[in-house]
Amino acid sequence: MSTQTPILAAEKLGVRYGSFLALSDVTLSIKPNTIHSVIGPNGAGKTTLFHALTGRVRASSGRITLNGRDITHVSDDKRVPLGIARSFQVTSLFQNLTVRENLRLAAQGRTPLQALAPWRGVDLHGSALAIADEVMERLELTHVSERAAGELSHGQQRRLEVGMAVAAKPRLILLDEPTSGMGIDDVEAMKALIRDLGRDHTVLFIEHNMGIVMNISDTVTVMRAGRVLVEGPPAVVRDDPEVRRAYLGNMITGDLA
Amino acid sequence: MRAAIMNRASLHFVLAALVAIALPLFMRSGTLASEVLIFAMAAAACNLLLGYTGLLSFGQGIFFGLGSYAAGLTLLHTSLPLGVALVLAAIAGAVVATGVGWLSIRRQGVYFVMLTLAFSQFFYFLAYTFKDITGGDNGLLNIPRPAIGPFSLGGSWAYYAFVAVLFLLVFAALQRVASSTFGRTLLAVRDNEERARAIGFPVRNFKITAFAISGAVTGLAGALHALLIGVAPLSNIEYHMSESILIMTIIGGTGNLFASVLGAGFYVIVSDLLSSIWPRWLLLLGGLLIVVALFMQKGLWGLLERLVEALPMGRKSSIKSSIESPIPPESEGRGI
Amino acid sequence: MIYLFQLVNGIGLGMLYFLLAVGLSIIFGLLHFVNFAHGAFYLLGAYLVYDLTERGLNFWAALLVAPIIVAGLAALTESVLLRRIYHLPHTFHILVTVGLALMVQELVIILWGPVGGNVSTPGALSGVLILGDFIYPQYRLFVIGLTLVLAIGLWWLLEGTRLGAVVRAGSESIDMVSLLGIDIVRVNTAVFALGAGLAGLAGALAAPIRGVEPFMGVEALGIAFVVVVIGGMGSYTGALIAGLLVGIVQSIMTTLWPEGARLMIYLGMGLVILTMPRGLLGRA
Repeated sequence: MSTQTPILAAEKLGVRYGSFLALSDVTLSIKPNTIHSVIGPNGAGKTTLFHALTGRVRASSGRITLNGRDITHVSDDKRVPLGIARSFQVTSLFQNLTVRENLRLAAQGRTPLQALAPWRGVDLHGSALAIADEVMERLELTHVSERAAGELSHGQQRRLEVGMAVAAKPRLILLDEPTSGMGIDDVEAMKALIRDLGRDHTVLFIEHNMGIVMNISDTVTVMRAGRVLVEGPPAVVRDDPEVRRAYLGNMITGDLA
Repeated sequence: MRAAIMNRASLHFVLAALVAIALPLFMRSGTLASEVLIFAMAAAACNLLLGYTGLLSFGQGIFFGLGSYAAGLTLLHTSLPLGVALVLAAIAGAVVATGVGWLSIRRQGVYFVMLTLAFSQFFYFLAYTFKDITGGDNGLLNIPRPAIGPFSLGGSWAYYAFVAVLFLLVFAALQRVASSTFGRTLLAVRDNEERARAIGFPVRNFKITAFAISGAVTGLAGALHALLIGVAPLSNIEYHMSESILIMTIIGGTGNLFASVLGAGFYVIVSDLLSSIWPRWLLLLGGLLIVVALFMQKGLWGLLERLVEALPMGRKSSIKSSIESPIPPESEGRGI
Repeated sequence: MIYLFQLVNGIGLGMLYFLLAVGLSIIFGLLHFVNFAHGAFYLLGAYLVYDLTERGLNFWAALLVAPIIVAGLAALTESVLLRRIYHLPHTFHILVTVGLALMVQELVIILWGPVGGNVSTPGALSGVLILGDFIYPQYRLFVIGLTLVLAIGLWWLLEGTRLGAVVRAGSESIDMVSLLGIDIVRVNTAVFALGAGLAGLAGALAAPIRGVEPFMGVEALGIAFVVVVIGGMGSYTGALIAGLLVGIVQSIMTTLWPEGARLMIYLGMGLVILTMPRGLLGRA
């Protein structure tokens, strides 16, 4: 196993909501340029893990490092320029703004202070718009670029969700159930997209669709009740007795290519 | 897309300029005409917070009143020129707005609104308590209206011309802000604040900056008002002033800045007409606010749009606003 | 001695603030409705006592009748207008109730003039209580006593009765409560009327102490907000503690810096915002 610095590492990460322990003692390391998935039954703490990693909730205990730099106390908006971006499980777009504007904002968010100057016009040929256009093409959303995000089909919205993360040009992309609610064709397209993203980003994603998880992940982390149960390559995880016990009847098993 | 927005913004500016030119033609009173433009500024500033950032502020009267006091104090107690007095008023508005904004946005939703109202009360009592500075109930009296350069501003229409120029400058500046990347970010914050933060925007800073800009313009408006009536009254910093500015903004429509001009014009002119007939006309205004909030969310501007569309050549008009839902989408209230 | 005097004043004031704020809190807690007309209920309660006593009705009867009328008017407004807007975002609640408050204020001026008036304390309580060196107006003691009784009664209502259980359950989940077959619509109206009635009562009780004038509703609204921000929205105990705190601080400040007393409340609120995100005891 190579000893390269993980791009993102969590050490004994814990998140507590009042008296409820949503995450405890989670230790995780994401290797650069890999596709790393997080699976587990509902309530396992997967989304909470994402919230903690992106800074949306504050860790109650433990440490998070990004490229070796401690970001445990960095607020969520400040983690974006450091190279983390995410998509949400429940679609959370700017409903009343156009697709292009959604992506432009996501691209701009990497250098937000530029936007804080009230006299600066929207740079017509600026980099943010260029990135937005580029991402739209990659996601095949160019034909709806001027439509309001709220008017897109569910599949298009989920793609835009992913696009919002990509537009920030991050090193690490966190995707929370990117295929949730999608139909079969959209799912295939998303699977190809994630694989494609894995070529130039590190991808960490939460999924329930085992077909995708087993098929494209380099590493799988299984969570249950706020803790990490097992971690390893897909084949190892799938055959693990603990995992089988935790999941009996709960998983959608997919084929392993 | 930028071309389309430029058209809209230019159209709105032209409309604003037309209003500024038309008022002297249709109104007998230069004072009333000035009042329209002064409150148009205040309403537009309020709209920057409400329509663009999604912040319902009951504190605009604070900045308006402080602007009045700042200008009054400067002109009464120093020999600084008029321009300086106006700048000081804008600065006072901006500084206090930054403070009020910073504190108020520490809470979300309803709490934020309640806080702005509470602050409005605070500053009212502050002005009342320090009567040595503010004149208390009487306010600051006999505020002079010095000439600006070679131009005397003594006559009501002369002053109107001055106010009109400032109004157009301020309107253009606010438009610039609204269509800038900053303004676009405000729209995003209004639309989905959580997402705006998640994609990297320090939302707090944006809101505070919006407050500062709004405060500066409102302070300037307050100063111009004090100069208009020669008095910086306590009522300029009262809750009722905040309420009125907010009502103007909502009646006009929160979709664009020109709508605020409509709202202010409506309020000022109707209140002048009705108050001589029936002093309690505010009763109707309260009812109108309810009606607009429930049934006419695009306000007077929305009405205007519908009127233009109904005309045969109106179909091709490009005056539709860039913002579709004027009242900010928020976490829902529950109940049956 | 002067501090004891102010302390007791503070308790009295604080209890009135509690009555004012707890209604707002309950309405928000169950209905998730933001009532910016709350000050108007206070105003109406005060003016009704004024009007009825001017017409010769005895104070006790007026004190009983006024809050009931306010509650009735509130129930009417709720069933005709407000219940139709519960589902809308909070901003609409605010705008509509601000409009209503403005209309009520103007109605008050139309009916009773812009100047305001005085309400004399009832004969039986016009005197003072003398305990050694301590001299205190009887009416104010009565106010304290009555509000304490009411506070206990309200607590019992919320914690000990079926209605209270429904209210508390409803503030957790409206859907569950209606699924249980309870007529939530009537409960909502009752709760709104109760909240408004409490505000009206506060106004009625305050009338002999501070007189009536048309703009007292705005000040009351501001104070109710301060108490709720400090104590936390939706919390009975929060409203009680915060109300008393605000009342006592204001009263004591009146000795130290009379003009600044009212300012202090708002400064205190500012401090709380800075240091406590949910207020003392509230839920968001």
